[in-house]
Amino acid sequence: MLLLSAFAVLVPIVYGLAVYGWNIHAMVMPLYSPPKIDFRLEPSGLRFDRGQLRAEFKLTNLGEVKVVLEGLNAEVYGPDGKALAPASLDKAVVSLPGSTQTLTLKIEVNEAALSRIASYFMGGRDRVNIEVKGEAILRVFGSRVIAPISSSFEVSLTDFLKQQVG
Amino acid sequence: MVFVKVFTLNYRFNLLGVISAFLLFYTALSDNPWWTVYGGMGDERTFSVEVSPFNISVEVLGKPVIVPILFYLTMAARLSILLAAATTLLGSLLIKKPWSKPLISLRGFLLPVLFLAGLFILLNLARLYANVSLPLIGRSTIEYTINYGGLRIDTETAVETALTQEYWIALTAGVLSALAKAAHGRIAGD
Repeated sequence: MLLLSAFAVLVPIVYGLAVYGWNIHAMVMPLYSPPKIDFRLEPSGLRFDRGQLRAEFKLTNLGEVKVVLEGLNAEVYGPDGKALAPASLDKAVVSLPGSTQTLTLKIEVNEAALSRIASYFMGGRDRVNIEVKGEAILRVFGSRVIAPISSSFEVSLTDFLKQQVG
Repeated sequence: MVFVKVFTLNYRFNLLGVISAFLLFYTALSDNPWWTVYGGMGDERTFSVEVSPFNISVEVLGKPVIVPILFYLTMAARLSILLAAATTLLGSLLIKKPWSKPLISLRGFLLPVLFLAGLFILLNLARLYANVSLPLIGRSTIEYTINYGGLRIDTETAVETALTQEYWIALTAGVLSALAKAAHGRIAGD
């Protein structure tokens, strides 16, 4: 009985070792290829709307995983690295693999921020680079993920003047 | 003695042993998990772990994690319990034979007990060394930080763990086989 029990346990293990050429390392090492997670974020438009700057981006999901961008806690910075205004997400974005979605950032521009932007143009520039830095709140496979995000867009003098005139 | 008389149908065969043997056959041939861990919310699963001594399945972000040795270890456990079930059935049917008692195996009882003890130890090791706290049964949230390309990514995953019906069937089979062995001792004593 004991011999039979020992055979029942040992035969599969010995067989497995033989299949793997007695390479114990190969038998115990986990095999896993994670899904590809990759995004491309590029600025696609800009508009002023009742004291709000709305920066639009094209979010392209180049990976294999569906991601829901639920929120954003970010700040926009001028070319001198000084904080201008807080930025948030206009609405949640569902990004499916292979798709491109529009992501709109709402930036609350107050008088102080407008004056600062104006000061950049008065320095002789006709375009000002604005950087967005903060944390994105995502939902991936049912988990909540907080990841750092960084992107930039340009405000032209024309855009700025349109806002001032409007 | 009345108990023994009833459960051996007047000393014809060991009924408890027969029932436990059939439950052991079912348990060993089933691929259903004994313990499950599901991470994520709603239909979306960040990860899933389904464990039994006869089958271990792990999926992370929708992709399987395969450890080759587990297939052979679970096969060994399956063969071992099938053998235990077969000998228990034989010993229970051939009740009058003097060599029948050793055929009634206690492996069916030991396996669910050791399984639970193993889970308990593994969960404690995970808590101590990986800072991942999971209950044996219930819900919790795992907070984990990943450093990826110099960036700090914080994750929060709702987790639910459960011992399944299959585990309780296996434990029932094990308890019945232990009772069958005890009853068999009384028969030998008669």
